[in-house]
Amino acid sequence: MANLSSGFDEMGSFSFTDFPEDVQLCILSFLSPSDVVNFSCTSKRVVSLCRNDRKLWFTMCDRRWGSKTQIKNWGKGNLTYRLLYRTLLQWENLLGFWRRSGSSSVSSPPLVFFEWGSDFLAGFRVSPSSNGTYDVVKSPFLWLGLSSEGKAMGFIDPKGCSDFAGKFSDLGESDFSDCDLVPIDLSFMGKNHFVIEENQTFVYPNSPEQRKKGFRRSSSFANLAAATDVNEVASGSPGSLPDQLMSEIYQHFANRTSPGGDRASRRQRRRERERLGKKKWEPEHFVKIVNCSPTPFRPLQGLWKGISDDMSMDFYLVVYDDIGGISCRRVRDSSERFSSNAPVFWTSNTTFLETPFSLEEELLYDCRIHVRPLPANDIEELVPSVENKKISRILCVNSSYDLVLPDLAGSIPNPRNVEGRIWQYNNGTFGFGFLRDNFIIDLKHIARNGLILDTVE
Amino acid sequence: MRTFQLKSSDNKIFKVSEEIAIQSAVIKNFLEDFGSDSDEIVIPLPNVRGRILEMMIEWMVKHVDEELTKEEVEDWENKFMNDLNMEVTTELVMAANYLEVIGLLHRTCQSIADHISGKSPEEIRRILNITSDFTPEEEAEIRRQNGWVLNPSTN
Repeated sequence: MANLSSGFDEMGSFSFTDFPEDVQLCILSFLSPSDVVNFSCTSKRVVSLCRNDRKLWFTMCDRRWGSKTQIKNWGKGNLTYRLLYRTLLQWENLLGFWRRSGSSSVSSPPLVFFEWGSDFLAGFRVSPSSNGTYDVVKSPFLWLGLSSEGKAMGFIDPKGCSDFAGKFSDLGESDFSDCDLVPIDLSFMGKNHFVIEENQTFVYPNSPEQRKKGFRRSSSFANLAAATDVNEVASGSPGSLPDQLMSEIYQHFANRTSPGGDRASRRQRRRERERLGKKKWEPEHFVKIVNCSPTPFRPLQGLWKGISDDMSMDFYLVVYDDIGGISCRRVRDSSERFSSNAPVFWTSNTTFLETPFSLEEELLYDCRIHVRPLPANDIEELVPSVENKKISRILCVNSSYDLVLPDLAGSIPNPRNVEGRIWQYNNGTFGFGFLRDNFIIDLKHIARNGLILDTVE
Repeated sequence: MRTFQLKSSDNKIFKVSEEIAIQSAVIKNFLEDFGSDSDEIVIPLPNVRGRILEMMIEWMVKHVDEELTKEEVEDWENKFMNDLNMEVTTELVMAANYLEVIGLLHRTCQSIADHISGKSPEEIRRILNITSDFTPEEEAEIRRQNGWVLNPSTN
């Protein structure tokens, strides 16, 4: 590198305003909104650039999300890009895996995966297939976009049967009576929790009623990220509370907030009317699965899929705790079981055995067979790569907590009943097995680079 | 592989292969329009001085090196940028813009943005050599009006 002695962080005789405008915009596009505010305070010449929505805020949006979604198509291209920037900044937190939480009468899969669409964010319910392969069923569930007025609009497909594959603007304008889409409000409660509630006062953007009624939805979306709505829904799922209790809660709010009291009591009456009307779609709460992929320091972390010896596929979540241990649980349909069930394997010591392995360890691996998926379209599985399955490291694990609590278990269990191994392969994936069994369950990634792998509709 | 000569504003000559040179969209177009099979072709670049051109070529050589992983190239880019002062970075921005070396343009712009990130308006003025034409009252007014960027409740 050239020896550049000058340590100054100044441009010298050159000034920022000497750059061509597209270069100026390119520089600004790498700034955060608060930095843009500070920048715009520097001189009159740059104020006008910072106020130019089509130039500055489009470039800001394009820098951040241009490779993932079609910036110009959101809200049919009628939005201010500043509004789009603010909205996407909040919504991009949806990308990735979420798990339904709390008691729920629904039997739909608990995992939802969000990804970018052309002019919307799409959420898909994700579940293991039952055909004995690594296929993952990905069914449409939720769409989130903006109307051309800049209002947030959300729809869910409770049955997962919609064949929508186009632009959000088409979805927002289509006739819903055919396809059973339900308009919803999505409210964040903090960063890693959101709740979906049916929006019963939804009016289609183009309908004549819209002008008169306006969007109730807009008010709850306005404080999307704020926790101000928490009071209303904090007690779990409001729709399931007894009506009497709900009335009291609303009455409380109506009495307490004197300036808005009139509005609140109107809302209460409206909700009571709604309650008598059509059956409501029950609100659903979702919690983000924050650490869903491996990192250099947590190589086993994340969501995985594996085929058991009975040829059924399961999703597994491997979690590292704060003191260096790991535990793995199945992600099953029932959310209660998910949170309370026993681990598939766990250990408090994540120090790997490195090569060369002892003969005993070699034997443990060699005398076990890998559970293979049924022959499918996956050519890689038909011709298993020896190189990929070469072991790089071994970790000792246990299959239950019994061993640490011998008194509670009543007797000291045979270690062979609980002892197991994780074999980490050269390609970064791993398999696990137990001394009591003669097979190895190999785990594969469910998603990579923001996309679900091996999907079937 | 054809090679060409790039001539800087201070008449320094750099020999580069076609693979490296065509990272500049301007040179690529030039070669498509006027290219011959001769190695003797000299491309004059009157807006870029030798020291800057040398650094651009260093950048372009690294970005055709197939031996390097994406992470290694990124590490190299960061070190490359950290070694530059703002004056040279500015010159590189202008040269990359002029020759349309998009990767370098974006990375140098990002570097300038990094320098002013988190800084006060006064510091930004000093770094970017911007002269304030505000009265204190006007500046206070601008700051007040700009509240919208951060405050989601206003539109």
